[in-house]
Amino acid sequence: MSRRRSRVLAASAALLALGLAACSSTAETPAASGTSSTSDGSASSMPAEPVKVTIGALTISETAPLWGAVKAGVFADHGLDVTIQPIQGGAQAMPALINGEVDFTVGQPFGVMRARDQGLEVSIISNYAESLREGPDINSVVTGAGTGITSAKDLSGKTVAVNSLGAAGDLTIKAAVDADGGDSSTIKFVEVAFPDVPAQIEAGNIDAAWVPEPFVSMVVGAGGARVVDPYQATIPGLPTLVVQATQKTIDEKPELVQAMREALADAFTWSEANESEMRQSLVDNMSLPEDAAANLPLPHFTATIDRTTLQALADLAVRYGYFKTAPDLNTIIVEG
Amino acid sequence: MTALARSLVPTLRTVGLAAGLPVLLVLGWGLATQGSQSFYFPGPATVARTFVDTWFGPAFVQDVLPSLGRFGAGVALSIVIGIVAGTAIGTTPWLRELLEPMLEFFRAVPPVALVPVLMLLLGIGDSMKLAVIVSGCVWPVLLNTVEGVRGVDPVLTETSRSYRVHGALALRYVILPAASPRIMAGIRLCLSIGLILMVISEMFAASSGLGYRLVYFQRSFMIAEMWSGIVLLGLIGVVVATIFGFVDRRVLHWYHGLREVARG
Repeated sequence: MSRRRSRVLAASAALLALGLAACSSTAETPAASGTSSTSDGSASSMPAEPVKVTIGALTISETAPLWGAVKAGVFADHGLDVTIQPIQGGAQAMPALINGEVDFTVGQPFGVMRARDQGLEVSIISNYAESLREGPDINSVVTGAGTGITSAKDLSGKTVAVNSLGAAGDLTIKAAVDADGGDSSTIKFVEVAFPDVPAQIEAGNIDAAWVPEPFVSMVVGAGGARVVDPYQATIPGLPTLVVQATQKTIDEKPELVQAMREALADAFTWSEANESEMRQSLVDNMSLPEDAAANLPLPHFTATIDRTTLQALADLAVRYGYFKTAPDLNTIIVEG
Repeated sequence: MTALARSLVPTLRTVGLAAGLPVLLVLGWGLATQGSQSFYFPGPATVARTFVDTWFGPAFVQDVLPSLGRFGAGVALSIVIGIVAGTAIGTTPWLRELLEPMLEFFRAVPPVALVPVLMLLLGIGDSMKLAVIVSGCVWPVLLNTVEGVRGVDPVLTETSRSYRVHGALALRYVILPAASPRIMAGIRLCLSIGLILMVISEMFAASSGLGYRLVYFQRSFMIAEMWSGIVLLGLIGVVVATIFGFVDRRVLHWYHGLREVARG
């Protein structure tokens, strides 16, 4: 497919972009002011005009820190006028990212690796959310009442649903089953959308399913049980969502990308300090009931990329034949 | 001009007309993607190569055959149900008056909207996918059969009645043959709808089939593979239409002959 741009070209493009940005003296400078921004709008040097940025994000509870922080003005402090564009899924959002309709998307790291594997030049610029390293994880394989499935190895030979095949869900389930002494090659995976899972488990059409919250609680509340938390069991703290941009954006607008990184870090700090306000955005944007929004388990939000977990994911994917060649994290991850 | 050349020219003309547009389209496609680096629009050569790599192999058994099986079974079921129910409704006036508003109601329900409900009722296996195909395919056959049976020339029915041709005999030799042009028109529609619904039904709760593969390729950024799947679907459509045309000429040879005579 497309020839990979040489590093020299990329570097000179970045330099050119820097030069252009300096000449045009537009609002791309506030990146430098990201050190002491606060949420009350009194950043040290307010830019003349905020840069318009569009972030594509799924309408799921994980988007709460974005909604909350945008409303609280955290991104404005970094000179960014952020619009959050609802998207349907990582792959569907990719064309919008490529043709510049959205500048950044929030999606699964596995999707970026897959895209790179196929020659699409997208990269991870920042972390976003991680699964929990201990305690009940934010997603789990659940089963109905009376199936006799109690541990990962019991899933051998069973019908297990995931929302999309060939991604981190079925990959980590396979690894967890094999690590538990089962045989992952005998599992029959089917695709069932998360909202359909509770009814399908109750009807007995599937033996188990991998779902995030609030579906884990729904199935467990109906008499079902958690079998295994595949992320935690195989790669504790595996990123569930990362922020992506095209290599073109990274090369041509390094200040914008850096400002976004810093704004995201501040957004997550803000979210931790203002949890009730962050959770209120779930009520505002997803019409969740107040008490559900207050109690919904959320992942760990962080902008810091943990290379070891992503490397473990890449290695696992190669081991189970999901990729032809090992993803090169040095090209996939672009840190500030 | 020799006799050979005289017979060759019309054949060449037919082949040229049939193949001309596809060849032009592929050429246009090739020119449009020439030198293009676009990830989402690969050129015909790339897609052709991917087509061979993707579908000539295990995928044929894993995905193409199950899909064709579902399509064949769904369409066959729709044709049988459509003709049987259509004949019953068409020949029984009170039944038609009773059912017609309901039929219009159910016909207007898009089968895709029924998928979540069908998944609950029939599970996530092949029966659900068959139900999706039948729920959309049965209507053109059914409604065309009703109209065809109703529209039989009264002179024909009265004449046969006066010769004491009743019941099954009349059905076999008068009513169904007279209705067959409309029934075949219904079946033609049923085939194209069936192909579309086959793909759609496999996009839900599947782990094999062309519909599943298409979504999988799309999600995995395997764009050339996705296009090759779309090409394959189109080719299946052409093959199905060719087979239908052949059967249609056999079944309705009298009708086509009649029309040619009428046209002069």
